[in-house]
Amino acid sequence: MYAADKIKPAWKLTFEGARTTVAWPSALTFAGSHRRVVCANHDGTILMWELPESPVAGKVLDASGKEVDGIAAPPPVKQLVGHENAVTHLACAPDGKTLISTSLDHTVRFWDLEAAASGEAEVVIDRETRERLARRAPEKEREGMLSAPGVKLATLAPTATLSEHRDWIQALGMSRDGRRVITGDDAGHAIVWDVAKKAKISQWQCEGVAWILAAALSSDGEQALVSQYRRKGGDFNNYPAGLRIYNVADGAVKLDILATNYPKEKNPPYQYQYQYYKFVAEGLVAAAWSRDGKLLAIGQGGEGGEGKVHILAAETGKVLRQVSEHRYGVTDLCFTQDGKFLFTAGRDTTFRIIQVEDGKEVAKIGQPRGGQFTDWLSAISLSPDERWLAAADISGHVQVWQLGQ
Amino acid sequence: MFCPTHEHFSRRSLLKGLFATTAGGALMNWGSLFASPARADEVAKNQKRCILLWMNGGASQFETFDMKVGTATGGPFRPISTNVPGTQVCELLPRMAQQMDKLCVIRSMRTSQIDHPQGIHLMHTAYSETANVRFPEFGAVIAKYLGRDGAALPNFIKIGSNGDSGSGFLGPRFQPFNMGHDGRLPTFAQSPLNPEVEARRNGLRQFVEDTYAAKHAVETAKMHRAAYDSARRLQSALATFKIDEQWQKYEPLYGDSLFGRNCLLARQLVEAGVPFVEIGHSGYDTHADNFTGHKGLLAPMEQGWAALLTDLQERGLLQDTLVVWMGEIGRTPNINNRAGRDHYVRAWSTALAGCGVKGGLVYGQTDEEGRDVTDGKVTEGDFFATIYQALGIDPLTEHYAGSRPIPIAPFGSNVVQDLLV
Repeated sequence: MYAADKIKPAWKLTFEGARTTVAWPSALTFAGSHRRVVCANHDGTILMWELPESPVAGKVLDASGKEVDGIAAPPPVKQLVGHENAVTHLACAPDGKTLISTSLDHTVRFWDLEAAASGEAEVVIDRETRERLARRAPEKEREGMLSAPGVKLATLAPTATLSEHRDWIQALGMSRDGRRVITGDDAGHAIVWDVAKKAKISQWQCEGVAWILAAALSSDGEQALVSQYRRKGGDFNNYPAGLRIYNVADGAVKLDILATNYPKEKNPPYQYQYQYYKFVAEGLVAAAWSRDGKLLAIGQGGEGGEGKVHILAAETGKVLRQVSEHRYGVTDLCFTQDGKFLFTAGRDTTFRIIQVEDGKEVAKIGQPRGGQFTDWLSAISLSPDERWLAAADISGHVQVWQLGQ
Repeated sequence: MFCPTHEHFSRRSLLKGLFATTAGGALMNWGSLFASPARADEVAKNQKRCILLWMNGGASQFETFDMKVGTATGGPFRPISTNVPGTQVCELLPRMAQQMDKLCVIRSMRTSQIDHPQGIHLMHTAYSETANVRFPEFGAVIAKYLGRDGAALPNFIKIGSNGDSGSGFLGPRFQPFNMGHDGRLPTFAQSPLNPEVEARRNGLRQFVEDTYAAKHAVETAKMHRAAYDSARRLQSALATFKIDEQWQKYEPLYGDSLFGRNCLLARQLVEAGVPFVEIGHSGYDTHADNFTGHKGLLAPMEQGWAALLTDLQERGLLQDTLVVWMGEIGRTPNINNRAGRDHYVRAWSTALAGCGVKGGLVYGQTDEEGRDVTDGKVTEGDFFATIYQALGIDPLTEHYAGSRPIPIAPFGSNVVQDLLV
């Protein structure tokens, strides 16, 4: 059982953009245990941290650049080099070393986190802080602050780069045993991969021309939940969207969830469009499948909806309940292994823990930050022992929380 | 019996509705001036005309024609080559990349109104809003100088209307004919009466108007009659607005989208002699999710746009048809914490193609991060002066609002000669 008052911040890892203002952390995962965190950003940079067993008191810099007491955050230890555009998702197999990444550069890459280093790199991970502090510093010190050495890291090369997709890859899901992953792109093309062989098991073209924004595999990897949506303005009827369960073996549609919940023929057009929009909002962008195979969770993204998460029965596709309300949209979610709790993160700079059975919000952690529109938590990951949670914060940090279960 | 004012069908609203249906004038049927329909067709074919593709909300220059890849303002998209060697555009414009030889891109727009209502007014009229003068949209100016009195079709048509300046001080004769964003005719454009009943009713109206006009020599009576006649003439041209039959053939070219359909409709309308058609495409105000927003919006837009240019050229119409692509503003170099870009007018892009302008040209330059114009600044006045010049309308032409002379392009505007053939 989780309780809000027992959840404590542990580390705040720095990962500020190196090249562009949009280079915020975009994907992350624990790898094997809570002591290894891998996080990627919109530049395509992937960094890996090795954390101490528990937080250690030390010195940290406050906003003005002064040293104060706090929990010293370790620097990253490795850089995974290869992606040429934003990394959208990371997933790590239960072995703790096999990592899969997807990107807007149209590639899926496989990594061995324990492989020998391919080289060495120096990475500046605190560029925004440097620039902020330099603006207040005496002029003669500024150049030195900005050009100070970065962190020296070992680099890793991917063990495989798969280029089957022809468009942005915005969806990645992994089976419970880590043997299969599904990836989906903006051309509506879904591929299921064998992780060990780094080869395709099956692929199919989803209906319509909508982007695949989220995908999840059932525990055995035999079925896939795929969410599609496409933004376009002033166009025919609704924005195209889809939420379907496919058989992985042949790509056949097993269940059309939108059609099940919102059959067109039973609703007049206006009511249909209203209900449809209330459900889909600006795209269902985060998906998870409970390990017992019974439940699906799917979260509304974008600013236009209510940021809700729909919990559905996997067998029928029927909505069981709607939980959570992240203002301006959900960004990520995951079930605990027993399926009793659901973790959600959103654009309101919070993550929440929901008791699945009754939809009760057990905890809401984080404070909206950034004015009317807040800095997002763009991704979350629950450690294998479910006692730690990492959250990628677009302000340029990875927050690691001790859940105190 | 007491009857409140708002329940009356006021004369003003009647006139407004009727004039809005047409920009026609005194002549009953322009086509009838020509003994030969072929001659009329030829004249219509050689007439200069303009299609405005209006990106409502302000499309991003960074995601279209002025990419800054690898800089702090770049974003996730990559450039692609075009059919003009050395010129690249955003990967979101693959079809337009193959039309680049027809396109005249201006990367150095610097305009003066940063928000939507004011920007929409500015980029439809060349003037900032004032309380004293109602400036006409350039569609109305073009309708005045390139339109034909007595034509069955309106001279100024807006599909998915943006902006409400209309004909301004040019008067109701040049008001736009506003169609729905889905290309539907307004309900008042089609008479619900059968022809026999309508003819009887029209006879009665004429009798009443003649009787009234004999006693009251007022302008409004003439305007009312002209507007009503125009609306009746429109009935003979309604088929021009129907594209369902052609759509099956043209859908693969124009794309399965409303914007594509509206582009086909615009082509059909200018081919039939309409001198100005505006097509609106909304959703570009991407303060949040700018990248997915543009990825979604630009796909159907650029397909329709590319198809329009192809279709016009294949029909021999492009050399006399100016296709203008713009919105009211550009978008900020900085990317905000909503993955969005906000409003920006210090340096942004527009594009022209066809009548009177050079193809395969990129004009102007912005700095490394797209924050400022470094070469070839084009103001709104310069932009409109160039459009008028390209269409053969003297940009120094003046109208009078009261005793005040008002040129169609503001005082001090310069035609950008480098853009013109």
